[in-house]
Amino acid sequence: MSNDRPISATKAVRYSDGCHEAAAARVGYGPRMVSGSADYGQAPTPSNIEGVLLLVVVFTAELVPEVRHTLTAAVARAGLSGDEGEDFVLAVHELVTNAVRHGGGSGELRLHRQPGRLTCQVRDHGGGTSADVPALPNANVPGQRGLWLAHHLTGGLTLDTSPHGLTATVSADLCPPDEP
Amino acid sequence: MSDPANLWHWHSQPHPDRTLVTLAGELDLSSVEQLSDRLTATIAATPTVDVDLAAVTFIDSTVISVLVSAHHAAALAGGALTLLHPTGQVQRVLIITGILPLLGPDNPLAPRA
Repeated sequence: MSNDRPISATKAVRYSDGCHEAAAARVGYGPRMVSGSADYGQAPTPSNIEGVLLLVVVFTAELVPEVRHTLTAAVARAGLSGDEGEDFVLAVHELVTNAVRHGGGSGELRLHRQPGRLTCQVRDHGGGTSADVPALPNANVPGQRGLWLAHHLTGGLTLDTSPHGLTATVSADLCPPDEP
Repeated sequence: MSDPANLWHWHSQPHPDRTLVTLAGELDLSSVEQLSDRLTATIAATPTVDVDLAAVTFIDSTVISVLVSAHHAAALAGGALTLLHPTGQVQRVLIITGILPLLGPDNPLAPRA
């Protein structure tokens, strides 16, 4: 339904890092480079993200740890490591966890590399989820931190609801070694 | 496939007035049910529980929920749940979510050893 809608340009300003702000300004809207023909095992949903498709995973609850490990390796291979790699993995892990808990028990993860940036999109099959990022609850409150973490750790979480479920997207800026 | 049972480890060392729980590995949605059950049983035995996180390499929002709930249960029973020695990702997540001031060793309810 909203699959042809271009992804929102999320805020990428984080940690006042000059390199990352420069990278964010260069986010490419170049030619469509989506490749990959994964075997989904269920109806695939067209991607609305430009870039090179690095990873497609269809997951259920029991696969959550394995998805995280696979994503960690893919993110490191793409050049995002250290604390920023861990933050991005946790952000995506929270979206995956949200999908299995509140989004119908399963979902699909797609990791793309664009010029200077990694973008991960998690789609679930839940209905009626609010498209607002919740505020951080008081430390005394047990729950409700998953989407806040995904938002805070990446500097920008985009949520799109449709009759088919929720699509959550986060990005992280890559710092190319040959940055002038 | 990852076996959730092998992702994390629990060791508890009971003392007359408190229990030291030592956790290790990665904790996430796949471990929180068992973690919650074990913390509940531990708090029932001694309401003062120290949880050593030095060897924990990953936690998420579901684990934080269990820890905050266990903290409430411990306080209700007249004790406290205190998180010790978080490092790396675990420490960062506990700090940005504001959990460490509530459950860290400097929290108002933490008994002095």
